[in-house]
Amino acid sequence: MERILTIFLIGISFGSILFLLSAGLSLTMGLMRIVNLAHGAIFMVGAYVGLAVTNITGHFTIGLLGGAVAAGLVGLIMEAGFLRRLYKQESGQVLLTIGFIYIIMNVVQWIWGAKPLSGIVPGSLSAVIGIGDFYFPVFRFFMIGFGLLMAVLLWLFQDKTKVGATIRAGMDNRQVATALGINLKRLFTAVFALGSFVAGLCGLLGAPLMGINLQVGWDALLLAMIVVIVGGTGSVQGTLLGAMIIGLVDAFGKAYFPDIAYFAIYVALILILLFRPSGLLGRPFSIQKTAEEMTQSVTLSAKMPLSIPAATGLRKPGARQRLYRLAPFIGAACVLIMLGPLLPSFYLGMLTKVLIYAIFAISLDLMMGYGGLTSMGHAAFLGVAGYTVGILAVKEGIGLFWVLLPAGIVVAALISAIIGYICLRVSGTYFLLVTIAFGQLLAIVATKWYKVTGGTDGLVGIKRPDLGIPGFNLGPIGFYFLVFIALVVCFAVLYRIVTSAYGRALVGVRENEPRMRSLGYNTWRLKYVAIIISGTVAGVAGVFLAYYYGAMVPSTLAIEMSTAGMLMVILGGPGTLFGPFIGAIVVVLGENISLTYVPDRWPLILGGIFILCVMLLRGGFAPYLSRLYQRFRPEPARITDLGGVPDLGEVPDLRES
Amino acid sequence: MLELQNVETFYGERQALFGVSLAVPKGAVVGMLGRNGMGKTTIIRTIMGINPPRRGSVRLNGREIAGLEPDRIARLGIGFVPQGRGIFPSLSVKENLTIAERRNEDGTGWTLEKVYDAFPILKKRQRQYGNLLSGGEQQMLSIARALMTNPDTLLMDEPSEGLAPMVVNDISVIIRELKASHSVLLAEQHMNMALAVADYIYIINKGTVVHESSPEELSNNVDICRRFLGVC
Amino acid sequence: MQTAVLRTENLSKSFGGLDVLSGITFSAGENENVAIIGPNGAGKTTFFNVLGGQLPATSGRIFLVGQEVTKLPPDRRLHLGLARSYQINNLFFTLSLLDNMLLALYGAEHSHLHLLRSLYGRRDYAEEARRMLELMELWDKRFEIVAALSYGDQRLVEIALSLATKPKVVLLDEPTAGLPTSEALGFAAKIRRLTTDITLVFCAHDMDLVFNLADRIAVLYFGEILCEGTPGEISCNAKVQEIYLGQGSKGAAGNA
Repeated sequence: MERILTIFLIGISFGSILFLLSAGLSLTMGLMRIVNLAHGAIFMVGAYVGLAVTNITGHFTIGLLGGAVAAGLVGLIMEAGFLRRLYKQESGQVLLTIGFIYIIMNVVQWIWGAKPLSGIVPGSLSAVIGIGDFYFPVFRFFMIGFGLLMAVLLWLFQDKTKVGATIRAGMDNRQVATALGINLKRLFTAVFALGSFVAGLCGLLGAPLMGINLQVGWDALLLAMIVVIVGGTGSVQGTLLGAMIIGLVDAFGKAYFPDIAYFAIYVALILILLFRPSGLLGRPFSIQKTAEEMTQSVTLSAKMPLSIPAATGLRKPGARQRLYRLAPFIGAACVLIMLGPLLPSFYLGMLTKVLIYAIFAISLDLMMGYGGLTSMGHAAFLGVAGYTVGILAVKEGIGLFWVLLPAGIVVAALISAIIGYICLRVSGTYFLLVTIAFGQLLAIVATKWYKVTGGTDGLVGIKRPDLGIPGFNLGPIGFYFLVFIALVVCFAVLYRIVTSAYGRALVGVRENEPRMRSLGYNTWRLKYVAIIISGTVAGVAGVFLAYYYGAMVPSTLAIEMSTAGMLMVILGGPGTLFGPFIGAIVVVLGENISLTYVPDRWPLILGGIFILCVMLLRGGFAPYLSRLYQRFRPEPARITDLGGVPDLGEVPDLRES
Repeated sequence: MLELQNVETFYGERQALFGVSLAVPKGAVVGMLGRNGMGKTTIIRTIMGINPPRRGSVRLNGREIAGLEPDRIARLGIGFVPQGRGIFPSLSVKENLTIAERRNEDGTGWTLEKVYDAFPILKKRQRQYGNLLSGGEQQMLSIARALMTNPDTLLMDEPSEGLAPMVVNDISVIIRELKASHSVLLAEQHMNMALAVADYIYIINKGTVVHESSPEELSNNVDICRRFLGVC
Repeated sequence: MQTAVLRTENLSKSFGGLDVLSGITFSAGENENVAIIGPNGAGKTTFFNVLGGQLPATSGRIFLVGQEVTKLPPDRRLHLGLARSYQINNLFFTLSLLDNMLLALYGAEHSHLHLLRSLYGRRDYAEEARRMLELMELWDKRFEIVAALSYGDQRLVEIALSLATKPKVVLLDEPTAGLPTSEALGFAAKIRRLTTDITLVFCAHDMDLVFNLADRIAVLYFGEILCEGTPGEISCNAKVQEIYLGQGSKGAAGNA
């Protein structure tokens, strides 16, 4: 009995912290219809600043407030300085917040270092209450009390005050609210800052449970996201319910099923998504636009001179045209082939890594750029393939490349078929959130399933591919060429797919899914196939990454890997294939250069690039490069005899659109 | 005085208004009649700034308001009674009114008490949530909510839509009473109601004004009515 | 009596207790052009969405050439010969005009996983795309992205996409929405040309179009079919005039 009560109280106290953490996220999701992925990072700011202020002033309460104010300020700057400029571009806003995660985390690391700090429990709260056999720390009671107090205050604020009513009006109907004279932009900023303030408030308070370290930004984001999805967005009661459920599931899971407790909350999340995607309480979260808004935004984006294919109105491509179109690829391939034997081994290694990441990036581009399925868990596919190679090579002693490569690819395909099936139950921003959850779920499996995966130590000792040719050992140059061949094959396959009828149909789904359905397409199947192909190709990258590092560690599955892939796609130009390839070059080289000159500041630069890309370079590099190249377009030869072939004019280049 | 001159509005590339000019003098009720889909709602959304015009001018008391944000236009003195009423379902009746509240500088004008006096039914229902009201009550709430902003001009988009004839009468009485203190631009499909309350009528067809006259004149002009409002 | 190509039996749709369509029994015969008219909120667009499969019916049944399609998703209905267009241009704006047409043509196929075949590889589709684009006088603009076309051309493409697969029935929702009067009539002629051997069900507010194109008119009012008849019958119908002009109008309705 005491044991159950204790577990219950542990769950409730954790739930209280989760509530404070998630309240702001729920508010901004309900009102602004965007997911602030940097919410966890803002929570982290609250924890670090709160601890610093406590240490300086010696007062815990001032520390709490200090952390909250700092977090609120970060939120204020984010919203007023950046998010506001992307008004009505929800997906851009979401991507922007990823950039802020990197920046905030790196600045925190810059100031306080990478070593985890420990939270503090003020002396007055450090006692333990004991009644009979039952003992429980006072600090936990304080968390519960404080959490409930804040819940009541927030509820009163949202349900009983005029500002709260205004917020609800904004959630109900933005257009009418604005037309009654309510300045929604100001309201957005205020709510965003308030949500950040509350998250910051619990940074220090929750530190004994959550820790104060650099990982906590991601952990807090995932927890808050799960709470909000379970509870429903936009209502205090929903968030409280979700927080308590997750807190209790976590506490009881850890007490009774310690081995699988880490999965319990993910299982709860997946169940909710499958059966009640709008959450238990609260309003359905949707960024789906009305048809009218869609036409408007589409015409807006189409006006940007990025994606207009060259319309020369000429005949089928002649030899020169074909050469012109292939020339950049042939050129790039020649350069890569020549660089192989020429480069010193350090740079050759770097270039090998570029090519592996390029495979990863172009695979993501099929989903994200062509299919419009923005995934933040793509590293999962790469990771499982890598782990398959690692497990077979290290644990089972299988060395033959011709076994390991297909094994990795098949496992990646299987996993993507399973994950894709569940993820496609939801769309839009929820799709993004579920992919994050799955990515994280697999990362946890890799960490916890020590016997098979080697836990945090990972699997070490994967040797270079054994091609099974007697007397032939693959050196660094040979490995480089093997990766090069893999990239060429993957690129060719994907290129063929995106220029095929299927590829066009996939773009059609991205552009206008309802219309595709009424034109007779089973759009679900189109998307599902895209995810499986994309996951399979990511598996190829995973196999080579395992060989490249000679080891597999859980971080290859983690969210940072996925966001790096996203950045390559966005930077290079989604929906262009060669763009993400360039993105991979820029990101990998950038990382290496920054590691040489400003070690430790790479995430800061990465975050900055992310933000610049989203705000200024919506189409990535690719359209600029391709326009530059089009200046060299040759005069095509005229063809008069078409030999019964229907004359469609010159077949246009399909890569950009 | 609200004035539109040669207003052209587009939805994306689609042109919805083709040079609309009309005027709502101070203290007048001006009716816009026309079949649905002809541009009445677009005119109201254009004035409100929700779909700003691409060409032409919209002036409120001599001041150009085309291109301003909707909330700014509302604060300059335009009250909005949207089509479908636009009641906030998760707000109580009272909250629906108070969030719109904006006092005149001299303290005169509509207050919650005065609105309750004018619409006693809303006072009775003040704790109920907006979506639990009947259609007629919702329409009254929508009008009352617009009054709470103390506008000098009210834009009403099809207040009779979906209401029983009795209730339409009640709404007509309210609009006539408002004439004393406000100018009203009324979009309607319900010809009799518009003829009963308006001082002047514009007929809108396919995004242009095709006829304007006093209500008396219009009710004697069977041909115009049939051509632009009826089925033939 | 002609054979019914599209037929509904007691079709109803309600949203959370609110009946938008109540018990609609309707049919359209072979090659017939039927107009659906009615005031705002009468349920025209909902009717089309239920017919097209974009919304599920609450009760009642829908038959297409004798086969029941009530529970089928839109893509299956298309394969059985039912296509539709939208009130607001609902196109693939960043793709070229030709790609839009070819996508619509490929939609007729049951499997869309032509992973390795080029969109331009099917000769029959290419020829059909050319024929339709020439019919619409848009062949010269085939490589332009659709967003760059004029609104009127986009409107035409909107309708052409739904006709590409040679359906038995096509539902056109406000085909001339947003077109200036001067263009609307020529547009109606083009629609006529494109739908010669297709059953056409359309709704419109533009009475010129309705009377120009329809063989038969059905008046939808508060979710029910108030009356049906030839254009001549409808324009003399006192009840219809009453709806459009307001109750007890002494002018038009009485004297007609």
